[in-house]
Amino acid sequence: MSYKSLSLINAENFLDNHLAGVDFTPEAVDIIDANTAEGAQTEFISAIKSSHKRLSKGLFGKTDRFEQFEKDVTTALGLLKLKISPSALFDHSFWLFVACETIDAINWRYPGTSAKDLRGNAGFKRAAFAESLYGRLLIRHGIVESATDLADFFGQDFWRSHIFRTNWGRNSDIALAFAREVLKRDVKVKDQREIAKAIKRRNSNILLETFDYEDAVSVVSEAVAEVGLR
Amino acid sequence: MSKVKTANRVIRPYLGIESFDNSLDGIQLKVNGELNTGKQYLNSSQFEDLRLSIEFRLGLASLERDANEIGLTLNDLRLQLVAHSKTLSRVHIIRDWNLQTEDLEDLEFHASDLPEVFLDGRSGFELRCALILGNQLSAAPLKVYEKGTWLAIVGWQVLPDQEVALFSPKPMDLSIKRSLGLDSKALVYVESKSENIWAAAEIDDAITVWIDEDTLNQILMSRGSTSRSTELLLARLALESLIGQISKALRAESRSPEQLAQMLESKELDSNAFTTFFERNKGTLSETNDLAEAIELIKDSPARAASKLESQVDIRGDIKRLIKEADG
Repeated sequence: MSYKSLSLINAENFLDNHLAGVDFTPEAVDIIDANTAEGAQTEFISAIKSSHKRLSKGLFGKTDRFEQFEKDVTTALGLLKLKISPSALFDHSFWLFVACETIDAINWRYPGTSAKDLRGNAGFKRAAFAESLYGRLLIRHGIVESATDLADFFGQDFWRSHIFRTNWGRNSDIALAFAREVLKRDVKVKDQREIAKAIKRRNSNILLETFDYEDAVSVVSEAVAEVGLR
Repeated sequence: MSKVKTANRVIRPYLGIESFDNSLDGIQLKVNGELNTGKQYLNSSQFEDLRLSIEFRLGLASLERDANEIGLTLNDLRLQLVAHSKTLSRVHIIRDWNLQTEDLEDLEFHASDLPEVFLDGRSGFELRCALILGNQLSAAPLKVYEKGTWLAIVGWQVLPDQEVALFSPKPMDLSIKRSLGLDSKALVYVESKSENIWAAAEIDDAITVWIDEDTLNQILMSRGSTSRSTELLLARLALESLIGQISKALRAESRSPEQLAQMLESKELDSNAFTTFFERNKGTLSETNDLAEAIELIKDSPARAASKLESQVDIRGDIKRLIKEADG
């Protein structure tokens, strides 16, 4: 039972070569981990690669392609999470190996980004993993895990700006209540922002983090009323 | 034009809540037996073998008095203990007590019975304990009435130690300087301990980097570009002396860099300081990632090696850690 890991220096080295168009195989290290299923990491990597291959062929519109890709990644992440231990899940070098193996897919998902942005999207910066492609979708998976009605509700701006980057978004009940409201009413992006701000204002004096779903629904509907949507 | 200083402050539109300010001071968190005073740093293996104990010493009588002052009863108050994971961006409620009807109990956990938010060895986690209003009351101006309004919060952070530490410098005061036979103005001193560096498990065990305590305090007190450059210079000086010592140890070796590389690669030395050091830095020291080449560079041109390592080492992190240790 093991997974492959890559040190940051090796990953940087790989990326420099990759950007310069040079073929280079970085030195990965096998980490023995009794609670991680053999091949779980490899299966995840091939799922990402095959999704990228399938979607880059066309047929879909650009936005649809990216949304479909994020769906595929989220599904694969769900499977991965069942098979690996928390220490693998939180191991930076685990994700660096995955990022380097799937760098073409990440590059395709974020076309035209600078080398610095690519590093961010691939999760090279240890402290900012939650802003990387896999980090974001891991958080999203945690929120919608049991919400089948939101399984197809993607939209980068919504999840990233209004949920992942907010303090109250860490409570999945509020995140779910907000997402369902937006989906149900088909709220415009401008109004989504206003609702998120209204929730944030309440969060300064009220601890929303322990609200259950029922209370969360009323917090969201009050915020909607405050914004003046009918 | 003069500089305007700004600070963020939460404005709380309630009367009489300041009496709750220190009400949670009696709650203590111990992580792996060590008292957490706000921030604590652990290495990744400690995250896997985590032991948390939380003691609740609350003065319920005075809490009740303070609550009555603003028209609340003990039954309106709840105490909640919540954990946050940064990587997963999730909250996990550990306990939620009604102060009137439920008895507080001290808690003890081991990693194996904790949810995954605690095992976040990548970004760490935060524990928060909050005293909140548990019931929705009728609205009134300047009165606490909304369910979930907090009256007091205490928080503790448990963060991962940065793995990049090349060395951990120690503060040197006058008496240490004397015992080392140094002038009182000495700034940086690298002490080689008697232990053979080939037998040491960590570089720290064989070599100690001392840095003048006053200089450290100055860095701590001032926040400006000057102190930033002092930090960098100091760290660079310490790094260079450290590499100098390693270089000396390598020059005293009769074996060639190739032989040493072979020995390190065969891992015949179990958890040796050099194995870890070169494992981490050979990519920086040698363009071809060659261990023998890395050893040779340190042996023959320590100054050049220090320049190469400087960009890789989290110098700022080292200094921060150092300041933290000096504090504690």
